Amino acid sequence: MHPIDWTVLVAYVVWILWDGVRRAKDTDKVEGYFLANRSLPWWAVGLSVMATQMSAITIVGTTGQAYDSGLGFIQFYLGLPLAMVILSVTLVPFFHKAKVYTAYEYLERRFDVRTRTLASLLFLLGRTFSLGVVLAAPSVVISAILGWSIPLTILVLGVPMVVYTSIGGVQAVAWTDVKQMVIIVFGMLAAVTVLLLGILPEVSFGRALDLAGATGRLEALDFSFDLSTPYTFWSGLIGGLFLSLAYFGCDQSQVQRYLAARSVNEARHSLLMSGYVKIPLQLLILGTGVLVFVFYVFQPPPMLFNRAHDDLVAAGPYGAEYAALEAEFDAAVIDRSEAGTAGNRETFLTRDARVAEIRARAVGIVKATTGDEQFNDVNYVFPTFITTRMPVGLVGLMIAAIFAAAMSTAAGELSALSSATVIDFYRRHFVKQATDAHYLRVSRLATMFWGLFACVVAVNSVNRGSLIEVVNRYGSFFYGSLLGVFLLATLSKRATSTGAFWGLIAGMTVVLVVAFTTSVAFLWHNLIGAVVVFAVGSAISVWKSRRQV
Amino acid sequence: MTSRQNEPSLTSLYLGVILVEVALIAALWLFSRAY
Repeated sequence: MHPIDWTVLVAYVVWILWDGVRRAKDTDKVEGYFLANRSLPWWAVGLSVMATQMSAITIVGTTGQAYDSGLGFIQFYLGLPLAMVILSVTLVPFFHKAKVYTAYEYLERRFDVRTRTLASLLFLLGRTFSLGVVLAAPSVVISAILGWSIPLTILVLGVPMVVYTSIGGVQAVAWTDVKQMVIIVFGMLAAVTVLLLGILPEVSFGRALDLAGATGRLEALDFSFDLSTPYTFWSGLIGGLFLSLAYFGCDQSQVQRYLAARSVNEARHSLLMSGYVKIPLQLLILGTGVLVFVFYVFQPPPMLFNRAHDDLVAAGPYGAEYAALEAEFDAAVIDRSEAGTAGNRETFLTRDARVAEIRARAVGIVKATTGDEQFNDVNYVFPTFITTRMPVGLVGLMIAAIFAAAMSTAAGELSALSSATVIDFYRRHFVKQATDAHYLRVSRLATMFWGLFACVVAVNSVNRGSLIEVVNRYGSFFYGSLLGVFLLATLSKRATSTGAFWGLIAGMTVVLVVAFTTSVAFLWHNLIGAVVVFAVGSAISVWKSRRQV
Repeated sequence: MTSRQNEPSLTSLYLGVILVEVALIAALWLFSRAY
C-alpha cells in the first residue's frame, strides 16, 4: 500500500480513538456511561443503530455475494422497515416509560427475575462469541490485504475499539459510529465512481446493466414459496420481519442505543431512519458488487481473488495444471470481453459460463492441494478491487471504511455486553447496594474484560469455519424465542411469569429441533420461535390461572 | 411540544416508511423485468 494510504488509515484510527476517548468527560455516572444520560439526538442514534448492524462482512461479503450471484440478498432486509414501524408503536414506548438500562430489566418488571436472567444470559452467551466472530471474520481478509498476521490484525482492530468503548461508554460508541457511518457511505460512493469510470469508456450504462441482467444478477426478487431457499421474497418479508423485530426489539446492542435517545419520539425517529435508509443503503452495497462484476468483464480479473495459497498450489502436485488453467482463463476472459462489447447476449452468456467453469476448477485445485474445504474466494473480490484498482488515497479510505464497519459493530456489542453483565447480573444478583462510582468502575472493567475475551475468541476462531457458522446460527436459535417473550409481555395482559419462562424454554427447544432435523431456512426460525413462545406461554398462563381459580 | 401535536407527523412517518418500501419493491421488480 502507498504511504499516502497508510497515512489515511493511521489518521482514521487515531481520529476515532481520540474522538471516543474524549467522550469520557460525560460519563462520570452509570447512566452516562451506558445511556449517555438519555441525551442523544435522533439522527446520531439512527446512524449508530445502522453502523452497529453493518459489520465489515456486510461490506466485504455482500459485495462479493452480489459479484457472484447478484442482488437477491436484498430480500433479507424486506421485513426491516415494517419492523421499525411496529417497534416504534409497541416496544419503544414501553422501554422508555420503564426507564430501564437493559431490555431484559423490563422482563423482571413485567414477569419475574427468573425470566429476566434467562433472557439476559441467552443474550450474553450469543453476543460474547459473535463479538469474537465480528472481529475474526474481517481480520482474515484485512490481514491478506495488508500482509499482517491475523493476531496482529485483530489487535489493531480490537485494542483501539476496546480502549475508547471502555473509557467513553455509549457516548463514545454512538459518536464514533456517526463518523464511521459517514466514512462507510463516502467510501462506497467513491468505489461506485471508480467503477463507473472504468466501465463507461467500454460500454454505455444501459449495456452494462444488460450484461449484468443477462447473467441473472439483477433478479432481486424470488417470489417462490420454498421454505428451504434461504432468501426469497416471503422469507425476507415474513421471516426477516420477525428477525428484525427480535434484533432491534430484544437485542441489547440495539435497544441500549435507542434508550440513549433524548425522548421516546427521538428514539422512534432513530429507528424509522433505518426504515427509510436501510434498503437503499444495502442496494448501494449490492449494486457495487454487481458493478464490480461488469468492471471485470472489461478489465482483466485474476482467476482467483484469494491468492493466499498461490505458492502452495504452484509447488504442489497440481501446479502445472493450475498454470495451464490460468492461461485458459486469460483467453476466456478476452473472449467474454469481446462478446460484452459486441452486445450479443447469447454469446456473452456462453462465454461467461466458460469463465465461471474455469474459476470453479481453480477453486477445486486449491481445495485439493491445501485440503481447505472452507476456501473462500467471494470475500476477497471487493478488497482485491480496492487494493489493485482504486487510486492512491481512496485505497486508504476504503480500508478505513472496512475498519470502521468492524469497529462500530464490535463497539456496540461490547458496550451492550458490559451493560447486561453489570445491570442484569452484578448489580441484580451479587452487589445490590453500592455507590454509583463503584458500579461505574465495574462497568469499565467489564467492558475491558469482554473486549479482551473477544480478541482471544477471535484469534482462536479464525481457522475454524464451522465454529463461525455455529456462532452465527446460534443467534437464530434464540432470537425468535426472545421476541416471543417480549410479545407476551406487551401484548398479553394475562401472561404470567411461569408461562413466559416455560414458553421461552419451549420456543428454543422447538427451534433447535427444526434447525437440526429439517431444511427450513434460518429466517423462518425467528417466526417459529416467536409463535411457539407466544402460544405455549399464553396456554400455560391461562391453564395456571384457571387452576388457581 | 405536546405529544398530541407530534401524533400526525409520526403517523405520516410510519406511512412514509411503508410507501417507500412498496415503491422500492415495485422498482426492483420492474428493474429485473427490464433487464
